[in-house]
Amino acid sequence: MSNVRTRLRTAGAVVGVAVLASIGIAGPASAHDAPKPGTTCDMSGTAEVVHGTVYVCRNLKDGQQPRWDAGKKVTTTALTLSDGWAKAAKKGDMSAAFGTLKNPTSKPIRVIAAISPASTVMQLHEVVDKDGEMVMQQKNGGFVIPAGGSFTLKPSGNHIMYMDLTKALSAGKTTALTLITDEGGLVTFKPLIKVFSGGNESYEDTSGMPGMH
Amino acid sequence: MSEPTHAVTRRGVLAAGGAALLGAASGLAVGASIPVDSHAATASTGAPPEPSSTTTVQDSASPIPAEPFYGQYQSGIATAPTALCTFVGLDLQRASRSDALAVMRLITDDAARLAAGSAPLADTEPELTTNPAGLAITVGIGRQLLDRLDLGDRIPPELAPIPGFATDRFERPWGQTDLMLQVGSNDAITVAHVLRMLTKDLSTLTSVRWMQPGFRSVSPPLPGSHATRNLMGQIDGTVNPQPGTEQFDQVVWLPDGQQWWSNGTVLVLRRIRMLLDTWEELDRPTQETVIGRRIDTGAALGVVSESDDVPFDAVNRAGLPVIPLDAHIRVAHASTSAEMILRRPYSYDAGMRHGANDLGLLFAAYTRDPRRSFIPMQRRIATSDAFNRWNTTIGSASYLIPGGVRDGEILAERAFA
Repeated sequence: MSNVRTRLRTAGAVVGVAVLASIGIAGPASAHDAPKPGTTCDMSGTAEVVHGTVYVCRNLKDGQQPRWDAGKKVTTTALTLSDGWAKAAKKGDMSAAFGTLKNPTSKPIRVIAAISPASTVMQLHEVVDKDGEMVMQQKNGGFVIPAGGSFTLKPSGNHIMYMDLTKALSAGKTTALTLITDEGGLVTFKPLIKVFSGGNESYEDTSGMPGMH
Repeated sequence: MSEPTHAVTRRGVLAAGGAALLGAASGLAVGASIPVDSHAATASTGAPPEPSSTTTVQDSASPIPAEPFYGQYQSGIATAPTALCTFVGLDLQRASRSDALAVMRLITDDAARLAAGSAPLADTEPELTTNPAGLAITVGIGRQLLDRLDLGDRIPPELAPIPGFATDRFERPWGQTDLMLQVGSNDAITVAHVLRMLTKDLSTLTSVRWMQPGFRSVSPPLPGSHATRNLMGQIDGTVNPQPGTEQFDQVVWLPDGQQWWSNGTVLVLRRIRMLLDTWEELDRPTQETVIGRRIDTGAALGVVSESDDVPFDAVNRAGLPVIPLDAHIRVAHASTSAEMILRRPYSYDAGMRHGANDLGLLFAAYTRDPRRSFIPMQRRIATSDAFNRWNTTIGSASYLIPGGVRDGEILAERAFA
């Protein structure tokens, strides 16, 4: 994991302050250059908020090196999460968050990334049947929550993955989870951390990152 | 399979034939029709359920709801006793306020969801939560936990240490713990699954010291009685205050003006082994003299029915008290509301031990102030109760039961903050 740097930084941007406060990284920080759109990045799913703009490192096609997207001005989104929970795990381990995303608006909402103060990188994962074996992999297009509809995140199904916990997720605590839409909408939830041992499907590494398992 | 399909009610399974009484006793809103489990009926006959000729029978099972979780008080105290209730004693692994709050957050979340008829988050067997059947989850806090968390100044004086009594014969592991969970339901699978879920959820924060499963009949021992029979056949709980009365509130809930524990109470939980082998050697009149009440009717000696006042001053032709001076009900008698307790007893049966039945009573008493009620009563009992020869107190613990919460709040949140 040494090749993954902590990419979540703040530059004290006007728009970003409230959002960043809610994900636990508020306060003045050193100026930081925004990622250059189109340039390659280490690990898809990495997201940065710089000067009120959110950038996401994405690989839109399997096997390609992920690249920074064009960036979107940070705004809000009406997306909600009910029954949110995350699996308790030790520092350095992986974990996942679950729940039901609901879209109360009349247009579909596409979630393309997530940010947690507990993990350097978060990824949106799906579980698919590959030759009879259930494997999980990154969902490159993100999660689309239909207009007026819901989208279920559950073990052995779609979930939001903590790729590398920088601190433990301890049972009974809550942990901030910020979702990012393709329109730059940010919203933070506080899923409850619970002991859970299920859903251990094998992991299909499409991130180009060695040594994940 | 020509025989007719038997309609098996869920609660009928628990209390054979007592469904109507049961509904009244458990106080559950079940509507006009008795829920019928058609799957159970299928299993009992091996044939598909036939269309019923009676209008009260439904094709599919109707879940029996849980007691509401949100409210002024925690459920499981003023609510109707369920057929099954397990008490769990747990210790916090680390003396940490944030861990204590994490425990309360998990219990609150699980209990609220279960009470609403849903599965807890991360439940791998959500199908086992579909019949709450009067489920009530109650949480208690041991005095020692508040001490360990350096919150001694938040211990209410009512949560007084229970002193030792001359008759105590404590055995491991039934002693005081940091925390207590009480899980009651009329469905055994529900109790087992909720216990599994809660103990799993708390497994990184707490260690379970003991589990004490209890049971009782949910049909009244006699029409109109609010009490229950213990494993000696005695009717227990005759003089209980009744929920919804001013007396109940005075007997059970902590006095007003609490800073941390509004709408709380104190639970004294004692594990009392009954010595049935020697008890059964006594003839029935002797047994009734020891207690001061008839076993069949529950009436005090010298009067007719269970609800009649006990004639403590009556004497027989020999000039001796009808209720002997060392009779259990005289020794345990409370003269004022302040001396009263709410008895919510369960029986236990732990199988055989050294060739004898290890069974008895989970004496669960809820009281505003045990210094004025349970402790003096138990002191009198230990000193002079004739009944002591046939039972042994093998465990004791007491807990503060915090008040109830509203949606969005966490049990005992302010006290642990």
